[in-house]
Amino acid sequence: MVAAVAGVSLQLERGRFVALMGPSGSGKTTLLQLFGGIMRPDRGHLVVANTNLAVSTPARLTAFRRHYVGFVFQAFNLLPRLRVSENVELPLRLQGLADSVCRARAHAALEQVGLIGRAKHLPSELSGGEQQRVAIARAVVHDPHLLLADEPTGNLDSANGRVVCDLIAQLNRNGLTVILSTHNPEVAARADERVVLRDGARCS
Amino acid sequence: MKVIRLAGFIGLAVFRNATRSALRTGLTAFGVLIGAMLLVLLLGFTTGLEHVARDELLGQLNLRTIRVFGLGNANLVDKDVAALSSLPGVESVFHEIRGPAIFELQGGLIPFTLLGLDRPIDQPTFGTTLADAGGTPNAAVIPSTLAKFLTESHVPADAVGVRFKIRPQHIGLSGATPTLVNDDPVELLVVGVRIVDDPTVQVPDASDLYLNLPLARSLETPNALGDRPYSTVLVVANDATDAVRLTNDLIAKGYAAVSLKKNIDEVEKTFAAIRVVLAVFAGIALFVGSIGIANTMFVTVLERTREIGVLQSLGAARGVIRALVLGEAAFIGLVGGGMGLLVALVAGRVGAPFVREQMGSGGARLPAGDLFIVPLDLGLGVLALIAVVSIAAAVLPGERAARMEPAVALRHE
Repeated sequence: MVAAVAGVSLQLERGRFVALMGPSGSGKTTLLQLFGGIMRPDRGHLVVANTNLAVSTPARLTAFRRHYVGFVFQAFNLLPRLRVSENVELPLRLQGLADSVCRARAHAALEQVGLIGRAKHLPSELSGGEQQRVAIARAVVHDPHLLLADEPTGNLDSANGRVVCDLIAQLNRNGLTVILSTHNPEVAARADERVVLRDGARCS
Repeated sequence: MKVIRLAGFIGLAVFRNATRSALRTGLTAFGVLIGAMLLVLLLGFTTGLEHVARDELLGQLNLRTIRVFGLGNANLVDKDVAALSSLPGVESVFHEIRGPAIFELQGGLIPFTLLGLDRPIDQPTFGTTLADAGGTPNAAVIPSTLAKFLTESHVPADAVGVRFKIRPQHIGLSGATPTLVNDDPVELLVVGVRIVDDPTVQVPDASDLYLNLPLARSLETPNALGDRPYSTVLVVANDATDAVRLTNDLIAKGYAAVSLKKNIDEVEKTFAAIRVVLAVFAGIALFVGSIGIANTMFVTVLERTREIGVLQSLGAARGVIRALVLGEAAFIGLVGGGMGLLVALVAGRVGAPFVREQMGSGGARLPAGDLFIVPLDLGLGVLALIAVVSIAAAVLPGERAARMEPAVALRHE
């Protein structure tokens, strides 16, 4: 068995902005997935938002993700057959909230990312930068405690990358805790703290 | 409430996903369409034939009636009828004397059956019944095939009130059958005419000429013991259940007896068995269609592995993932099943006259009535079965989707 991450110790206060850096295979994605409850550590201690993820059942981890975490992926990962507004509403629909609430909050989230005019479009009709902004809106629509972004600018050109980065930084200034992974030093420079990983272990 | 809202989201997602690969969904649904169509066609025709057979039986007499033809090898005489009348559960008893005869009429020979009876008959198309004729002893209700010959206009209605003479003739009957032999002409008065030559209307005993029982008895030659036997005795039971019990009792005592309720029960059992057999064969076709659904859902789950990972990362529970897969399978099944039902309804309607023609070839004439019947509960039952079969076909792929590791699913290309 290969240890993707081992011996990483991190303590984070609410509202912080942390950038994970390191070469490919250093364990950045694995660490994000651990923080987000997508994976469980085989050994060790992991508490996020007062939830002990190391001992949680799959159902508990699912509920944790539904309420406390927002994910942004490098490949955007919008559902192709749902419209932009429906993609953004998804986390609220999964919580079983009323239609009116879902629509209103999705509207607000799309306004926040500047894409309310594209609400009725399909993801395939949007540019890469627009898709990633929609993904950010989806990740924050349910007021999570934590935003986890895995190489959010990895598939974008520099201009769109800056727009996305500005958006994430703005969300952090509004109080959202952000952990993102990146190869890009300019993106990492926006963070309060940089954690460098190599071969699954923390270097700094 | 939360469950209803989730169900609404699942429904939307199912529809969008199913229509995403329209060709694949359509081909898979087509497999179900074939099975559904076969099932509905076979069951629809079986139901129609059963109703036609049942209505034919019911049209003759009601469910409380038992026809008794004889005791052992002999016909029934008055003392036998008295014994029948005294049985528990018997409401009333009617008598019939029937015999084939050939009549000379205006120089021609026309075959008829004389039927002397004392039971109520249906109102004829023209004129009155024997009972309503005020007890006229020589009253007759005749078929329209005879009435046409009695008037110059050849209009059956004009035969009411006409007096005519007949000469019943013995045509070589066996000793076990009542004989009607009389060399003297008998004058009859037409009080009623029954229309019997409309091919779309099934008329029981179409060629019968009805007479009052006393007249028929007077034309009958007594047997060796001096009795004038009856062809049939109709025993009317208090209710249909009594009719079945009485029939069984009479048969046990050696009477030749038949009750329509018993016949109908046998008909219903036979058709029920036929329906089961046909449903099994059609069900095999449906099963093949469901294999198509299972295959499609396995492929779909594989293709959407990453999407499933995304939904899991957003907090979709296993039950939601499972419901998305099962829901899509049910959607495909119901689309195919619904189309199959519609095609079967049209094909059945269009094909029924052809089936009637084929079944009626060789001289047999099917009674009137719809040969293809699909009751509402049959249609809904078929759709419900298809939904269950479709969902069952998707259980394994649904479970595979629900139990995916999110981290593994997100890495899928």
